[in-house]
Amino acid sequence: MIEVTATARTAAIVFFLAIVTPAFIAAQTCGGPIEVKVQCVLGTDTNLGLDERLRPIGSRLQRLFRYSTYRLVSYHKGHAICGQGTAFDLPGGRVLHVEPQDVRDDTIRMQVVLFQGEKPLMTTDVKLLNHGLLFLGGSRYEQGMLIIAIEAGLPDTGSPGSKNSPVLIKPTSASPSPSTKTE
Amino acid sequence: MADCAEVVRLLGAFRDGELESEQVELVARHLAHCAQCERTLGEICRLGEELRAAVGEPCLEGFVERVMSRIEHTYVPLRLRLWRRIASFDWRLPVAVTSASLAAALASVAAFMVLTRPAVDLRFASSSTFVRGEDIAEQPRAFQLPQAGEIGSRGQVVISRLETSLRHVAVWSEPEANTTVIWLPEDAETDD
Repeated sequence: MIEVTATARTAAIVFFLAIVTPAFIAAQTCGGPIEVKVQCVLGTDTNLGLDERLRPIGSRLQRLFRYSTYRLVSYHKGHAICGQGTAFDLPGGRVLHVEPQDVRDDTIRMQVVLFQGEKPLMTTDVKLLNHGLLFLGGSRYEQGMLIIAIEAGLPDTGSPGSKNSPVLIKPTSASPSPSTKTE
Repeated sequence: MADCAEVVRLLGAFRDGELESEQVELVARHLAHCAQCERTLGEICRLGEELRAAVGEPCLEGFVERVMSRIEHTYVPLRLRLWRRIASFDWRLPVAVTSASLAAALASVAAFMVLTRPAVDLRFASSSTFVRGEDIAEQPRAFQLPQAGEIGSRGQVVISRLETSLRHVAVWSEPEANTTVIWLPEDAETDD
């Protein structure tokens, strides 16, 4: 029978806590699923104004860019948990991969990778406020410029239908359950 | 040759074997020729024996046990008892284990802090000025992000890493709109 002394037991507990506590703290920073919304906007200079469906982000688009027309090309919504990303098939053969990493102080840290086909075009680690917006742009599409608006946030509870709620649900192959509406 | 008065003073020590060798020789030579001093020495020896006989030797049986018993029953102040316990404790193992645990904890915390280090707030432009990719100087593939004083204090997107296969990229933020743009000009050359 192995005799365990009090000192050895205390040392084992201290060692266990020293190892487990940081991991526990780290694990606590990841909560439930993160809702990721992606809107693909086509900016052109055709003087048609703002697409009605883009009204919630219209002022930001007009402040940030200088196109006379903004049209919603596709809308995607998916959920992702920390450490497990979700992917969205975007117009023009682009794929957007979003992987939340942790949620803390009402901010969401995540990795965003934009693929052109299978080739990674850009990888970035960003920290967004809950329901904050990040725009990716620069890709030509049709007769204009494609602007990708990425919004991440904790799922709204009790708010039936956010402003950008999609109508059509079409899961993509690479994501757990994103919904897609393509114009 | 020494006189009797001098030798008599040394007889007690002579008998007890406490004299130096020269004095022993001196006393012994004198005694060989002086009967009176020899008698005096005999009286000293006899007196010593009588004194030893008169005073009984104390009994030491159980003496150590009795002393230890009294020590054990003597009241010792708490502070002194604690100090003795601390002083007698073998600290090597606990100190080694605690040090190892602290080192492991510090390493874990350091790793945690490095992995989740504060990101850098990008504010290439704080207005709605359009920045074209061509306007940005050529950058390495992994873009060096500028340091900023206030990290995310105004709600912008905070970018801690930005890598792209494109040669040029523009990043700017609009604080009033709480938005940040990463502009990847499609017509920019790629490295590969």
